[in-house]
Amino acid sequence: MCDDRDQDKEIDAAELEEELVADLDALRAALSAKSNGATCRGKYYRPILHGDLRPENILFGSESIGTKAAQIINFGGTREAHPPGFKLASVTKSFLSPTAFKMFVEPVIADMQEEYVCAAAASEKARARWICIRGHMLVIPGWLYAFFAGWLTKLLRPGTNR
Amino acid sequence: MANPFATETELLVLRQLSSEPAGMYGLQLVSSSNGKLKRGTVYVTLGRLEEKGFVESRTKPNNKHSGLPRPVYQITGLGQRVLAAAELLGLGAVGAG
Repeated sequence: MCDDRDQDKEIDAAELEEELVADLDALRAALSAKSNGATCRGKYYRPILHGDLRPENILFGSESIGTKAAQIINFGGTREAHPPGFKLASVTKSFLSPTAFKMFVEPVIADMQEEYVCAAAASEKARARWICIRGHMLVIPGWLYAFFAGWLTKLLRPGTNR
Repeated sequence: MANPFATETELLVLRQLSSEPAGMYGLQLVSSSNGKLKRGTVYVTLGRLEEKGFVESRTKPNNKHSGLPRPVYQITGLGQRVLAAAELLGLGAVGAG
């Protein structure tokens, strides 16, 4: 990203494009490395999804003598990206005690998110979709157990909050 | 014979966890159980064991994504004693992988 190229050097359009592509590749690599396995440009970069990543939205400026820095700009086209399961977590949480949710449901969702992120990073869309569907189904046994066990506990031992 | 301490599945989980002092993820337990543990119910078993105090879980901060942290399960001292007692009584052989 940073180099010691001459700031005053005049370059033509083709050269500029070439430089932008090169810098964009470097930027991608840096972002990818930073996010440790996540991908960017059209996919997601934790936890921000850039809606319009293109050369025009990348500014190059000099920070100090001999160094150049790239800055990604956006115009409100970004949104926070979450792996699947956030809505599922909030819905299931509302019917369970925090302890029961943490024990029986949260690990299932966490596994789904982990596997989903790995599949998405490897661009395995079909597998990612399947992981998402399967993960939502796998929540059911744990949720049912926690729900009914909690209900029975309350019934048999009033005053306890499972 | 009824198991006074834990079910066969619970003993299987305890045995697997006792072989990994560093702890295991739920999915690691499933994959190393040769099909005896299922994805859908492994956390029910682990949750029950945690309630009994045979197992404890800890979560590591997730650096890969903004999702929920995955818990790592470890056998407790009580869990080890229960497992030892069950094996002494011959219950440990049930469901051995």
